Amino acid sequence: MADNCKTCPHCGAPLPAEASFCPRCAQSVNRRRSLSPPSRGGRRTLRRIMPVLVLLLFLGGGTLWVWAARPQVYEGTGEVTYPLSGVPYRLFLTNSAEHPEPLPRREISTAVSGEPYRAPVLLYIDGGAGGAAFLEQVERVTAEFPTVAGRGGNFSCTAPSPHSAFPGIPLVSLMDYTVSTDCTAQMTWTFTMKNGDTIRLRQEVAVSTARTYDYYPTDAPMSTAAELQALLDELADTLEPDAEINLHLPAVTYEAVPITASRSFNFYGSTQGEQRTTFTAPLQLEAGTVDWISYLYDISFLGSGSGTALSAVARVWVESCAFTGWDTGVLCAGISWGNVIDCDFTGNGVGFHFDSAGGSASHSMYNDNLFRDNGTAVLLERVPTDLPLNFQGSVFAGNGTDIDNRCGQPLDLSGAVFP
Amino acid sequence: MDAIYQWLLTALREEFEAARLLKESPRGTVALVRHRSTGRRFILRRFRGSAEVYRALLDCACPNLPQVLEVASRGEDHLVLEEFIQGDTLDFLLRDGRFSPRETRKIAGQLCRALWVLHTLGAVHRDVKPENVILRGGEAVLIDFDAARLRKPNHRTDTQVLGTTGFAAPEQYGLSQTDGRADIYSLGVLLNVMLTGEHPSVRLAPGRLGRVVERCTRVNPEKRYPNILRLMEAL
Repeated sequence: MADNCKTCPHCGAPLPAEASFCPRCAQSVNRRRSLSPPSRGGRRTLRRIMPVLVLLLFLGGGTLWVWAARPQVYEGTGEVTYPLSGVPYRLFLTNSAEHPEPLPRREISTAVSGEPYRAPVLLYIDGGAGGAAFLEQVERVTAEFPTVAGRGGNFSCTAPSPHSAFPGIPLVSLMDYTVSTDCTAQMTWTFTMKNGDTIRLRQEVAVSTARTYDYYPTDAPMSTAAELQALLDELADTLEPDAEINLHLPAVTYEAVPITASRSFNFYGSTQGEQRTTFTAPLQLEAGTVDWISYLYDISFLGSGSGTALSAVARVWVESCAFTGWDTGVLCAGISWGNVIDCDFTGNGVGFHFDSAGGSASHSMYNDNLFRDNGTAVLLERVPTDLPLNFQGSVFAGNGTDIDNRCGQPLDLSGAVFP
Repeated sequence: MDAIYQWLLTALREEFEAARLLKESPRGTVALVRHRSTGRRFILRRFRGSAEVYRALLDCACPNLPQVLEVASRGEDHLVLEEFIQGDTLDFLLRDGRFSPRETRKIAGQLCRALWVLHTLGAVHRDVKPENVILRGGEAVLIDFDAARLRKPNHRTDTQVLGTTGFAAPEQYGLSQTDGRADIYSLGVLLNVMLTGEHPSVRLAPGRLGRVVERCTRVNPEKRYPNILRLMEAL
């Protein structure tokens, strides 16, 4: 500090040159600029008057046109039929691209209280060439949740639009919801046609909640691989299939024996001093009867050159974990979907391997990872959807092959770093 | 960077004493600390992640934002010392009742001022909610920039789900990058909760403020007020 220091203007204490605050006298020592929004009074007045002027200008003609046009309103729950140029177009909402049937009431049997969820709602159009002629006559389409029964839910949705994850579906809205108790909401799609007609298509969404269980090392033995395996087996056998189970792992090393989770669990690693929750044994995630995502946070997987650190045939989300020295770091197989975010893949044969045959996408992001000195950083053999995988902020350095994209998966590498 | 982190750690140990742990999460801790010789209280944040917004606020003064006094980083570990705001949170005050339209408009205007500063710095708060607003005398102060980030023009999508559900804008769940309009959404929800106690999807506030809420909370960000100045005018 002697070479590069200043003194506090209030008390004279020596401070580093870059200090903004003097801890001795508790005074700020940097120069601050006061920021406040500009006044826009003139423009505000003009903006207030403008609508009135426009209104006066068009009042007479506008009123006449509205009365003359007499637009029709078409409404339905689950589906609605709209005649256009002699063709009856059948519009319906559903949740499945595989089974396109009208779904007037959608029951989501389980959701964890307080957790945010997102689910797609798909619009199908029967009649005409895939509904293209109908869509040409649509002036505007919106989706919203005007009503929620019960006080325990928040629902919203994105504006309907085509979505790359659902090719061939005319319009998709992504429904976001969080519930604290069982509740029902009504989603309404409103089509405003160029001829002035209005079509309202509704779907009821009923969500019921599941229980969440947290287990800490003080609640159950989980200090060795054998203890952890026994706990996983017991919880899988005894708790409800739709329960959310959070395991808060101690800062220990799980050695030797492969560990298998036969349903979804969330694994939270921890750090104590230099020791972080570490697996030198492989971890295998299997799907239970309910298709929850298994989340893994803050865990190191330390290999000795062979084996797969984390193999998932169930949906998985891996964040802030490290995979070092394995034949494969993370393998998503079966019909799984996996996301790796903010992870470190170093010195593996393959860092992240996607080889999944079905299912649906959970999330498009693969951001902020470090892929370093792997034989192949990312191997994309089979990816279940055409959703572009986004590697924004991920760094690829010193790998034999950065991305082996065998299935031609759309990728967004615009934010990836290849130094 | 490392040197000032170590310097601040040492100074905190010597000149301050811990008063109370306010919040603990996997990301870090927030504690109330007391300066030994003056008795003044400060907020000390220790966390991993990004401190870019706190750093941007170091040189700013706004009555509706806490003064950030020092930011020190070592790798991804950060220490932030900031002004302690004495007062009640909106969350606490809302337990006993609602706010009148006049009070709501005044508080919303002050929060707009805070958000204008953040947006001018290129930041988005991303967690505007009653728990993060403290009423200090007649001034509302927007606190907690843990979910905040500087907007990166090249990033098409955000990286994680942040913010508090119900108050967070739909685009915060991915697929498009959040910008200042996400804060406008959350502020719209907050306005409605102050007036009705309910999320606007449950019960929209009546009258003109209800129309402001409705425009703030449109699902499509393009349909909301384009910036915070427009919202201030509407208020």
